[in-house]
Amino acid sequence: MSHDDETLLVRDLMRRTADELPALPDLTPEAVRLGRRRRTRLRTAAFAGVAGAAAACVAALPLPGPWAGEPGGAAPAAPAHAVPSRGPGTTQSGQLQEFQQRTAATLGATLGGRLGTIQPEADRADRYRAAGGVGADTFLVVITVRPAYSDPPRCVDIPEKHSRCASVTLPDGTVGAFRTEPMDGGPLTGVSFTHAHEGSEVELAVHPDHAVGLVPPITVEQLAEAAEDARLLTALRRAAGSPLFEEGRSDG
Amino acid sequence: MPDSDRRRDFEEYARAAQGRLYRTAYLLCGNAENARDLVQTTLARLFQYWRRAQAADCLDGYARTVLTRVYLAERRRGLRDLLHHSRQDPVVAGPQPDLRVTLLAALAELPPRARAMVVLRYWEDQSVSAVAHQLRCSESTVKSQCSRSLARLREQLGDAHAYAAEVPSR
Repeated sequence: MSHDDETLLVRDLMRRTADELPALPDLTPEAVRLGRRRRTRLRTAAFAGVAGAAAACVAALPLPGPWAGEPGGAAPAAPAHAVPSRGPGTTQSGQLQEFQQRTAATLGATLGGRLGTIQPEADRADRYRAAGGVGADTFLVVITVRPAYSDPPRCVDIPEKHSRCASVTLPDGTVGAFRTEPMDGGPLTGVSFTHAHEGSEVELAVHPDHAVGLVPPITVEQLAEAAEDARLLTALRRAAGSPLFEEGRSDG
Repeated sequence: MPDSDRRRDFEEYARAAQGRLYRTAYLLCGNAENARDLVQTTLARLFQYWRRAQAADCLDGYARTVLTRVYLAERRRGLRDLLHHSRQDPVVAGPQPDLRVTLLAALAELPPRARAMVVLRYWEDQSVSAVAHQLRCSESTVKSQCSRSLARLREQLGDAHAYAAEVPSR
């Protein structure tokens, strides 16, 4: 049988197979709804990044009027979910802003190829929003610092929880645990990279988006490749040593 | 162009294209339910970036590229594998498999990227260069992968009654 005949046979088989498909309901209205939602989410994420940076800038400015120079005065309260465990003073805001910008830039440089543009989320040092990467969806990137119980971090598969872990030695000798597992109590998997540094365990996790039913467009292999870039490790170690993450370190 | 016109254009296109995309998605996914989800996601992406899609040289080609890339991305992410824990995969060839099951089982043996190449090349009748462009790889990769995949399909389908049937007329 010639190559052309084989090709024709395969094509004919495909046609006959596809002919047996059940009828498709009209997917158009749902596509419009989902497409609009995706657009809105993308815009919201971009706005949140800009607004967060702007808020940090505003907070860093000297306050005119009745609050200026009043120790212990009625300054605007910090949002309840802020990570910083110290007061939201000018120095802290400036520190947060600088940390956010450097970290977002590094995450963008090392993971941006898969995740797109990465922006800090409002006034959080630990949360970043990735948008416009492969698939053009938005995903949450979270840095967590906690006390290290082992070095290197424990890395085991837990099949019943669909959790898989691979231990990878990075170029500088650091041993990282790269996991894919369901996150946020939902069925969808995210990926994470954990390593120990000076008594702390630092985790970088890319979460799935349960609202739209999507897992992040990055595999553990791709995350491991990104972790080979010394800039990513440096950024995570900066988080481990930053007072902005003190709470996580002490809470365990 | 007002948003309402853009939406109408999209709806018109989506209704006309969804059946064709569904058939391709079915050959990629191997089951109707996943194929429908894949088409749904593809259409949502098309609507999200409809202005860009309309500006493409070939709207059908653009839609096909989105479909293929969403499929590969989802396979990479393991979402489908995860879903398979809760969904019964019907693609299992028995001792006397029917035509559909035989082909789908054979396609399921191929790696996702190779499967996409076979579907684009032989089902969608895309040129080697078009497939290479859509999958962001070299033409030689497409040629060698398709050749290997065709050999594997031949091996799998060789004994199947349907495959041994007469070559369809050209």
